Amino acid sequence: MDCRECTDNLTAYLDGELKAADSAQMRSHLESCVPCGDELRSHEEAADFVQSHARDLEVRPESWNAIYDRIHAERPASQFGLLLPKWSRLLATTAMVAAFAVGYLWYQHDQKKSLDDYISQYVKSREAEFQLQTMNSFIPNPFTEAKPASDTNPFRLEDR
Amino acid sequence: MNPSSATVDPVELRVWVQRARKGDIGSYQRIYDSYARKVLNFIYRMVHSPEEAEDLTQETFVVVYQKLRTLKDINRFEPWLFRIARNFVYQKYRKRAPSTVSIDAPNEDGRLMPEPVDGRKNPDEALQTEELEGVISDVIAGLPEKYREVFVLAALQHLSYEEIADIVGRSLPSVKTDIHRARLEVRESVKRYLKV
Repeated sequence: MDCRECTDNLTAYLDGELKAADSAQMRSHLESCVPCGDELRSHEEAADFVQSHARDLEVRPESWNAIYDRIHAERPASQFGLLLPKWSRLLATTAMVAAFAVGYLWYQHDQKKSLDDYISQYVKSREAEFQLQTMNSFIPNPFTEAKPASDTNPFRLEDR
Repeated sequence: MNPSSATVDPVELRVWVQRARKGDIGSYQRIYDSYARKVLNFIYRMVHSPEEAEDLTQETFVVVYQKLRTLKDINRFEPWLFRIARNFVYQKYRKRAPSTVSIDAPNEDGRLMPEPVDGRKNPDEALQTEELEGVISDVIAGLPEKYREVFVLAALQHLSYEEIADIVGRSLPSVKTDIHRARLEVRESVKRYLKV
């Protein structure tokens, strides 16, 4: 390993990002090369300086309350669907579609049955009515007063 | 429980995420407690305003809760979380000049952002510490955006280069180069405070 390669990899070495074999090579070079060793110590000191003086903000306890409120406010009306696994939701949807289809077919069947019944009743009543009319045309009505036959024949010339 | 930046046990995190996905707010609060400070400070270093950082942190955690079910690999939760935070930073504040609000300025409610109390320091030391904090803050804020985000994630949040590449959407060699350049710039800026 030469100095150029060493300095290029110094920060990765410092961050523990080199593979074991590369790290070993770096260590070996750094032990024998004074300028590269100084370069490493300079990087280490800068890193320590930043780490020790970079003041972190503290999280305010109220922040969680705000997040909690937001989560609840933006939650869907029903969490039931979200609680179910994906396959359960698929199953539930299929069951709903099947129930709807069965209901629709039943409704259709029921409607058809009602209509058939209605038509059947209608036909029956019409037939009964027709029979009554037919009977009426053959049976003389005993309560109707018979008209006396006319003496004149409209087709005879003498009568005209 | 005070949100801390302590390392999270991956097994515990997995359980919390799975429970939170089913609507368990308590588990989600544990996730928040574990990561809120890291996210807040990443955003703060990017927008340089405590109030805006707090608002964006809240936005981030609301969206993370809503989108938790879309996270494919729970092992990559942290990069995914930071990617959402980063998206908020870029969507809302990219074209905006950095705020000049001081870290000690009161927020809208008139409250100061809490800060760690160190009773051991005498006034001179406290003043020096405050000055050095300001130096670091300005040095980081002065980095080009491209370097700043990778520097903050690597040097302050201690994420791996691979995670950083995942967050910023760049290749690993590109991230490695940018972190190296950022560290060189920072070292140059703080050189007069160093012994070496």
